[in-house]
Amino acid sequence: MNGIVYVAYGAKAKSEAQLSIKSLRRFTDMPVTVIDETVFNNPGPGARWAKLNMDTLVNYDQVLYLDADTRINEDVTSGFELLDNWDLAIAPSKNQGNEIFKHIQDSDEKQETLHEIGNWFPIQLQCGVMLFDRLRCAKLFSEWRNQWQRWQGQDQAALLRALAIEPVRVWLLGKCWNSEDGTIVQHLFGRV
Amino acid sequence: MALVWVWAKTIIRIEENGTLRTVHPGDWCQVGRQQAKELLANDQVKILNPTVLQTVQDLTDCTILLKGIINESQRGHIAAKFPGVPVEAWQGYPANQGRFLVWDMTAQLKEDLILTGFSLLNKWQLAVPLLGFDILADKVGTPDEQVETKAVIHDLRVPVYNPRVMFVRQCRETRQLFDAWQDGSELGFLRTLYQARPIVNALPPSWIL
Repeated sequence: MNGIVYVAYGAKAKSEAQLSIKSLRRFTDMPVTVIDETVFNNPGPGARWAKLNMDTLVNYDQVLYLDADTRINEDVTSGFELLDNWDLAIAPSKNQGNEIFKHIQDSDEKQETLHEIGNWFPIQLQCGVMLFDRLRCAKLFSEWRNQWQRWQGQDQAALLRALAIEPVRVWLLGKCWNSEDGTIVQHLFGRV
Repeated sequence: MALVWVWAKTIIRIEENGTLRTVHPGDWCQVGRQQAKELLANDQVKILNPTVLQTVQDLTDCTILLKGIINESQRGHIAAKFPGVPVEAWQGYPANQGRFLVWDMTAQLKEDLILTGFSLLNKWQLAVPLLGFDILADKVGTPDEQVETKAVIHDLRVPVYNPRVMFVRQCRETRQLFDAWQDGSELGFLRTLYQARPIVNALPPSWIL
């Protein structure tokens, strides 16, 4: 069985998740799990530790993860078809080139990441919307957790380091899946 | 003279075959040990740790395969830049090369990234730049090609690759990709990529000038 997962700790995140689910329900009755303090009581900063543990907290075969501050504008269940052939489907971040990892600009995590993955010019991936096969991505998630523990801050650089160690078959989505003006999934990036 | 790979943190000038070359921040280059020490002391470069250095430098299983109209001086330039790496004309998926770069000479690949591309193949089966972050499959090809492509990949609102530059590790998946990709088109590449399912590392479009 496939399902859709949110992570929502605190009143604001829960309220956002409810709005996202309401928008989702216009298109599908697929099962939804909201990971909160009743499911996992150690969310970590920004609830990222909870997010990186989601593969161990739900039993779905394949998962669509959505940030709470997303709004669904189309039937997203068609995205699960991609997982017949691919392990992870994710869109590039809008921050690329000179702006890559600008959210961790003041940390040595950026330099260390680019050095360790052996590529000073990679594509940054946006982790707020992801489709993944839970079993085929188990090693990736495990390594993602290991990598996140090193700085315990944001999760995008940790994902690239994890992918460099445990690569999976990644299908790139268009920005319609994860952007401020996304026609499939609109991501408000906290500006609500 | 033993050479050391360094990564430029600032603009530096190095001598190469008797002429000065400008190396920009983020680019790799080889310099002598003494110059490397000086650059390092001035905080102008970074040197890789030995394990990564070994990975990057071991090119014994690598080949550069050129497509299109090959200018002999271009070929010579590339061969001189990567001593020991065969530079040959593309004649189809090679039978006995571990890693290879397929490079259509109409694409201006940043040469300083070639070593990076080869090193990515230690973990990935394929590394290919995107055509552009905003160039999606629904804006490429003819209507018929789009219909054919949508039937395979389900949704055309996905980034398109630029298959004029491909770093390839020899394996079943990449062999299948090259066998099936006959039309040479970008949408054709996307269709065969989807079906062959290699472990692909998408590179930014900026890898090509």
